[in-house]
Amino acid sequence: MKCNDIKELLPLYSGGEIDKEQYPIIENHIQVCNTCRDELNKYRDISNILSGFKEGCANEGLWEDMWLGIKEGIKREKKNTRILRFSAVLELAASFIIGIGIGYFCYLFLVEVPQERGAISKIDKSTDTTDSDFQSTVADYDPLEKIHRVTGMNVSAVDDNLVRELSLPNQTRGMFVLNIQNGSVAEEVGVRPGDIIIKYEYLPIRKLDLEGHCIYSLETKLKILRGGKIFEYKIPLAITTKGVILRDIRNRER
Amino acid sequence: MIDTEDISLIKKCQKGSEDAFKRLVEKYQRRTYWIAYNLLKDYYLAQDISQEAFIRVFKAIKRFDLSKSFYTWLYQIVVNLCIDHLRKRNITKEVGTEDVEIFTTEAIKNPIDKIEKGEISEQVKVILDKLPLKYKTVLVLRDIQGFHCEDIAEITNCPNATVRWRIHRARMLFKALWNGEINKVKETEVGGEL
Repeated sequence: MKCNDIKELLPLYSGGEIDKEQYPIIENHIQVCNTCRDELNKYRDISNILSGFKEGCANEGLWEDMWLGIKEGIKREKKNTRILRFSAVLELAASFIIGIGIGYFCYLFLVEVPQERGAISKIDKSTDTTDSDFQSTVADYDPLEKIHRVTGMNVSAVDDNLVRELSLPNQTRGMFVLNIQNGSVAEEVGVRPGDIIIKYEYLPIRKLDLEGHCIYSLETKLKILRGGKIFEYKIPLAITTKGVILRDIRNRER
Repeated sequence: MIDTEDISLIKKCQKGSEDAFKRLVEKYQRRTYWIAYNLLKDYYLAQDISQEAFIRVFKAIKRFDLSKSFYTWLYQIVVNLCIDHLRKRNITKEVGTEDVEIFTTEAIKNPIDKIEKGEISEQVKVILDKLPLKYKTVLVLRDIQGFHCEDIAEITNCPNATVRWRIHRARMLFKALWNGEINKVKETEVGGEL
């Protein structure tokens, strides 16, 4: 190995970082080469000088001051962490409230809420309706509550006093027909004042389209107790968005 | 090698013990401070940087991997903070040696006396400041603080071979500047990744 090659290795050799197999080569060389030995001594001198700077004289109270500074910093960090956590909770709560708000407005825009439950005749917003409109209409059509509006009958619930007064069987329950409006569905069907409606049910049948208007057929079944006999009426009704109209009348006596 | 006392203290710190953290600070604050001082050559700045390093350690200690060395992690934080600071101040830049006193061989025969007088200290400071940051860092960690190359590799986040190469270059440059063989470090030596 030439002098220049050895000189290149001296910086690491002086600090002991060189590969083990290179030590004997350099040691043998510096014993015979004054130039390289001088160069090595320069590195060693510098190394000795630098190692003297590992620690100096610290100011009095430095370490105590440092801990106080660190302690203060830790306290500040803990406070910041608490603030950050609180902010995160606030952000979460705000997001939740905004989400609910957006959801509510979407609900208002997308879902049509009926203005008045059961007021079939008041549903007059559009001639075009959807199946959901129909379901809503049917759901609102409570025959026990609005029976007189649809059929023209004024009814009253049958109670124990009425059962005794009319000498009806004890278990009899239903609606007592008080009176019937002229030209009403009930009159055309043949229902009479004094009848007792013991069963009233309706069944959606189909969707029709008449002259551009959506019409939903609604077959209504009535079971009436009259003079100890039971009469059954079937009333196909057609409900439009503009009200209730009678489509057909059929009855039969059983 | 992992210090079992450190692990015990860190576990307590992870459970929130401030006393255990104080013990860690007491154990490592001197080395931390002098590393910062050797790199910055400013007592107050070294104190601030050391404090900041310990505060960062406190913040992140819950996530510390106990299979790793605590002190290399701490010193890595200190070194990075110092480097950030030096870069911001643009301290490490190419400068001439017109203000550097060239010491004779006689002058460095008795360095302890010179250190006491503060003259060699000033000379070392000036020359260290002339070195590119990557060389200055390894020289401080190896020749002043006496860390092993493996530890320096962890602290500077560099491969071992890179560390050895930088130590080699740093010593050559320091010797050349110290002996007045060169006046300044070449442009090509400046900068680069730490």
